[in-house]
Amino acid sequence: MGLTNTPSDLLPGTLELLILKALASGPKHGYDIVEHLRVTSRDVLHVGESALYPALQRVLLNGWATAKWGVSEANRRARYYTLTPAGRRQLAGERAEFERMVRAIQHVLEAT
Amino acid sequence: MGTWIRRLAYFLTHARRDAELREEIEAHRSMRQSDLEQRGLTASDAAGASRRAMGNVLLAREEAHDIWRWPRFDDLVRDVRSAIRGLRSARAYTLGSFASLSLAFATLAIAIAVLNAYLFRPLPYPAADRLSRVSYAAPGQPEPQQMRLDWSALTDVIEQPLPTGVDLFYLTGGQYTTTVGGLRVAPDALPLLGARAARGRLLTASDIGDRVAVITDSLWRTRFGADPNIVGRTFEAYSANAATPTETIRIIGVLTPDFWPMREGTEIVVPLDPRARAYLVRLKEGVPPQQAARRITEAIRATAAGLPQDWAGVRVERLQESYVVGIRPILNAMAVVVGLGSVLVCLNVAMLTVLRVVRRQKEVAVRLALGARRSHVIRMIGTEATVLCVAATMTGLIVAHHALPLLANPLQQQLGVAVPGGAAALTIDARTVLAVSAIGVVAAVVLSVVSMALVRWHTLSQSLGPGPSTDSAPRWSGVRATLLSLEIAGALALLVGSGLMIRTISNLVRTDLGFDTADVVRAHLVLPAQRYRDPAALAAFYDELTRQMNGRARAMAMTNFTSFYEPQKHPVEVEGRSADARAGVIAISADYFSVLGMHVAGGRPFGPGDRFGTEPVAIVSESLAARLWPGQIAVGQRIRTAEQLTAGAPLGAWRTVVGVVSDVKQTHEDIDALDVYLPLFQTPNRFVSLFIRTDRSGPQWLDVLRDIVGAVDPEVTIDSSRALASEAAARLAVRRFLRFLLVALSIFTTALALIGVYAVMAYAVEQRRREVAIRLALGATARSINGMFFKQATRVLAAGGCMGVLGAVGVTNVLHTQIYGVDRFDWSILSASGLLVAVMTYATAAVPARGVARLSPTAVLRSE
Repeated sequence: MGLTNTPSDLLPGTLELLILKALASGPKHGYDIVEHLRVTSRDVLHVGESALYPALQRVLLNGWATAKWGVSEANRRARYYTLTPAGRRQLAGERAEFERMVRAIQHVLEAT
Repeated sequence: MGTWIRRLAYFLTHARRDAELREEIEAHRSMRQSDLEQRGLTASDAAGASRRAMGNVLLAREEAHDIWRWPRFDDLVRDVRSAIRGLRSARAYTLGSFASLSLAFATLAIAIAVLNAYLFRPLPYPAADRLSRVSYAAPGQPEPQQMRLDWSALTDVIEQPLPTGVDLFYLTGGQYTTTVGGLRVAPDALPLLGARAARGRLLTASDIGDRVAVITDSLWRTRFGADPNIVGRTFEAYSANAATPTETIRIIGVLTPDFWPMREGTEIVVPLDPRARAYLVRLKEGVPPQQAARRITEAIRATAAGLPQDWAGVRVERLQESYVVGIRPILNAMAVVVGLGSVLVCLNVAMLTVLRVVRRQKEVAVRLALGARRSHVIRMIGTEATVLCVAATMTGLIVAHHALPLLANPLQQQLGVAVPGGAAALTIDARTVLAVSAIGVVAAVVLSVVSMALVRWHTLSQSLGPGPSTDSAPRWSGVRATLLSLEIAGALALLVGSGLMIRTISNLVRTDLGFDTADVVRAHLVLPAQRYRDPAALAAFYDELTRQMNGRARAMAMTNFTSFYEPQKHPVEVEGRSADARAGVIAISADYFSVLGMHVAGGRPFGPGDRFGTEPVAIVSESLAARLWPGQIAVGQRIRTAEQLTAGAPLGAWRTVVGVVSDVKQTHEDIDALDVYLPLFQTPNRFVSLFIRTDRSGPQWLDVLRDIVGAVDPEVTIDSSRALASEAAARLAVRRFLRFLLVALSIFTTALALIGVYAVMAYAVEQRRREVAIRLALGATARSINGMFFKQATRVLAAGGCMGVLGAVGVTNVLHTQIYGVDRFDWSILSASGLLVAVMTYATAAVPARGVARLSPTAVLRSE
């Protein structure tokens, strides 16, 4: 996973959705986001750092989050990302669209 | 929009953001390493594992950077940087092209600024496009006298009549009487001309008939010392036109500095009765001047009595058009010359660009071989031309911006018409920048297209292989030859045009006026109207002045006419015949001819006996005598003519011709010498010019004259005192300056054409080195080699010469119709210009040809 730039089991654009969801519970730095996704996905999603940072740049470019340098719990300098109102709206919209896609796929799989 | 702004912010701070991303990724790795160490790995193992977990960090940073990029903008920045590097490596091409393009754009900017200031930008008045001048008679014809016009019946075409009149005020009360221009205007017309009061107030209807005035900001500062209590102050003055005694005039306001009175020198504005004849009107919105003219003419015909039978009606002309009508032809000619010169410059740069692209064929081939996309290479080549044009456009605008203030006054003098709004209005404004930038864009597009089209023709195998170079392919040499021919044609057309104008100006400068200006000082006097109403009073002044001048000067003459102006032409009737000539009529004193060195060819000059009440006499010029009495003696004949300076003045008494005098030119442009001279004492005038033969300078005589004239009448105004020779030179100074500019333009355009010829010939010679070496090895002589290139130059010269002759005919026709005095077509100028271009072309082409003819064939073939 870490040697590739895009997790092969994530649909395109999904990583940004997961990042926005991770930030919904409060500001986080990059390592926090990766660990949050690993833990909440019960160790299924391992996001490579080399995939994470381009995705974080897309989030910043679209104004869905802002970034600011701070100090972590381990007293290290880290860059914290905070969800913006536009990001919250994007999260709600993307989530609704993702769930619609999932239901559609489920219908296909359950069809006889 | 937010994304755009964020991208822009990233572009401006990308170095810092790249550094932050590096730090952030390293911090992330460090946290992972700490976690792994906490799980039991050693520091080195944790470090290695964390680095592996990060993956390809460099690729991640590049992908992160790519997300912020504007691909097209980044490409543009890269292309511009590459273009600048390329231009820096080709110094000769860059400097030559940049300098000539910058000069062309600067000249264009100046020309466009002048055209804009005079022709395109509205006059500085509200609703200036509706302000129109009304003429009640044709030029030179008297106006209808019994004309009653009810403007209230013309409200369908006229929004507001603006009665105005020009006047001259003589301000007394100081050490000397001084003159100041004046404007009489109906009070409600003043705001419609954009007037605003900086201090006090403007004129109102209640001021009509009162002795009040509004003054300009400049008069407030120069004469009244910017007195903050100016409102309410008074000054003593009398009017030239109103013929009133000296009056006390109260100042009620000061105009803002931006008010433009149109007539230079206007400093005082006084009320005019609104019932006065209006020569200025504001038309109704959407009403064309012709419609207004028809309506006004109908209204006058319906109510006026005693209209002349040949009265042609009223003419209404937009104020701006009437203001520039006299100079429009010369502005058009200027535009043609500047435009042609700029095209020539662009042609020259295009040719140099073609040569440069041709030289870069191998570089292009290498880039393509290394994987560069063809579109990218083409774009890179085109960007060079664009960068050059953009830099030259900006430089040209900056140069023009600094040059315009220096050129404003000479330009206004040459045109004889002030810039609307004042000299400060002659500036590089937004419209000029836009126009020049648009031309710069067109030039950039043309040069880029030429460059890119040439690169598209190139193929990899043709440039790298040992086969014949595509440089000698017909279409390449055809492009070069065509451009060179066009350049020679343009240079020839410009040389012919410049030559015609230079000759016209030289003839003008060398014109023999026919009278002697050396050691003569000219001064103007104005006698107050209220005390010099009758001929006896005027004659008494002339006699006393003459007596006072006795012994103070070598000689003095008086006339009612100023120097270097064309007198009004009046019909001259011969007794027993109808009028068949028009002549200038000038009243002079007895010493006039001797002071100015004019020769009395027959009869006698005027004498002390030719006074008011004696037999009316006249003297005619030789040309007029030959016209009126061919083959006969003029002395003793009888004529009559108008005896006042104004157009349409009635004919005076019959006069006996007592003398014939040599022809003179009243101005350098005077084309006929038909003049009638009358004795000043028989037609006295309160406007007098003195011609004093003296050793002293003009300014020295001003002080002396003030004392002398003051002893006769202290209220007489002396308006300047200047040496006649320096006045003549000043009239020609601007024309000499223009001649200098034309010579410089001719040299510049010829030099440009020769640079192009040399560049093309040098390149053509270089391409045929191998061929020349083989010919020399096989026994050809240097003469035959030179002849080979001579033929090549002749073909280009012939094509360029044919096109140049057509262009020269066109330019000559334009100049002939637009500028007075320029001949329609002149074979001598064309032949001389053609010979010059041919000789210079062959001489320039011979330089590289002779060089290659002297080469050692063995050395050339070995190096190949």
